[in-house]
Amino acid sequence: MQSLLFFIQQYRTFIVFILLEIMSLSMIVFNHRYYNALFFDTLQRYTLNISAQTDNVWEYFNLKNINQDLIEENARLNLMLTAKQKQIDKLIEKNLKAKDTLVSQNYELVVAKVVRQTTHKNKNYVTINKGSIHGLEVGMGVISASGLVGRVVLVSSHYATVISLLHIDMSVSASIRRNGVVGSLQWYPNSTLKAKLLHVPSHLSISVGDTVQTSGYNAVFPPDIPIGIVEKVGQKYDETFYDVDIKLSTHFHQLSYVYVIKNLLQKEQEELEKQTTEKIEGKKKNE
Amino acid sequence: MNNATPILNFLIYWSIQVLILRKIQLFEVATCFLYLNFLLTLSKDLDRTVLLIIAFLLGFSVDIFYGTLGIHSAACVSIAFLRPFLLSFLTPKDKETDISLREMGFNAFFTYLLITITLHHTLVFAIDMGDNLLITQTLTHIISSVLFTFVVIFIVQFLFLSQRKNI
Repeated sequence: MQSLLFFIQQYRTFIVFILLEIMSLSMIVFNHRYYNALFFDTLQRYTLNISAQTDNVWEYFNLKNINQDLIEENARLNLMLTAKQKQIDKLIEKNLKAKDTLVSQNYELVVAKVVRQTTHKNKNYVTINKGSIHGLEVGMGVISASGLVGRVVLVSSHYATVISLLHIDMSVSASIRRNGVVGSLQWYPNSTLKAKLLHVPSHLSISVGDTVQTSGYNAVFPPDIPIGIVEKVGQKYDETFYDVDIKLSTHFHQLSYVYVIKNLLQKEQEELEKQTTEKIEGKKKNE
Repeated sequence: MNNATPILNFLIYWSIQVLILRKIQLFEVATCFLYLNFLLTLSKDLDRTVLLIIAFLLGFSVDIFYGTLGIHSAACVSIAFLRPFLLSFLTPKDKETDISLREMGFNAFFTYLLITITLHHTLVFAIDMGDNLLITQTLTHIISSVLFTFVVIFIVQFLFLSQRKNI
């Protein structure tokens, strides 16, 4: 205290000078428009700068709350999205039905989402999120927007497993779109997107670039669904069949939505074929 | 009587400044700030702090009439602060002297007056200029006003000089 008073005593002239100058300058600032603007603009610029800096720091303390809010919002949006997705699924289904009736009344499509799938094994399966309550049955064909996928092998109430085209035991009846040459398509292992078209007699014309599609000769797949494109045609000297390599058109690596084909007349067709065989076999037996 | 003289002087200088000299602008550029003579000729014995406060009051009272609140105050306080340092160079330390042309001699008083008046006028006109940036015009104002004030103060000093001699 003593030293403070001493200090004031010693420098009082200077202190008074400073105080009076401050008073004068503040009068100038408050009474002259230009200095007023200059002073308060500068002040504002610096204070804004400082408050921006402090805001920056304070934001870090709020991050936890913000994070929580975002998580909640995310959950809410996800919920909304699934609701919307269901609507979209319904619409797609409706649309496909409508489209399908134009082509043929026989087939009906069920939209399903791929839940799990493999592509790297010798025996690959796809799991989809539709099951028996959606009307799926064993043996139905499954296709995607880009091409053929496989056949349903097992059905639970909400899920179904599909034997993929990438399976060594899977074979599909296929034909060349250009001229209707029919063969049997078989995937061969260790080459994800390649398959062979078997049993194509070497006297028929076949060339690189031909589109291979389903033949429609069985009740599982409707005709004209794309499978792949002929990549290489080989012919061994002493063989009667072509050695045809096919590049599969289905994007197996990025399957998301697939369509399960319900053939409404499958049972009727199969029944008829069965009866036919039985009748002829029976006749043979009788004879 | 002796105590009242500075107050009377203050009032006289202030009245002359705000009532008469405020209206006079020579050649539309030069202004006379005669009131500075009061501040500059106050006794050397006066406490510096008191001097500063008087300077502020003087500047403020002039400001009120000039409508330039703060400008004359700031300038007056500045030269009141500078005054003792200047005087310590320009007057003999041991001798008690009044601050006047007669006591200090022509050279010292001339220098003293020139420095203080120039500082004061520069501050006043520069602050008054603000953002106009009419530099040539402001410089003309400063120089002409310095000359005007300078001459008027010298005339007053001569008048006092002759008066005292007569007495």
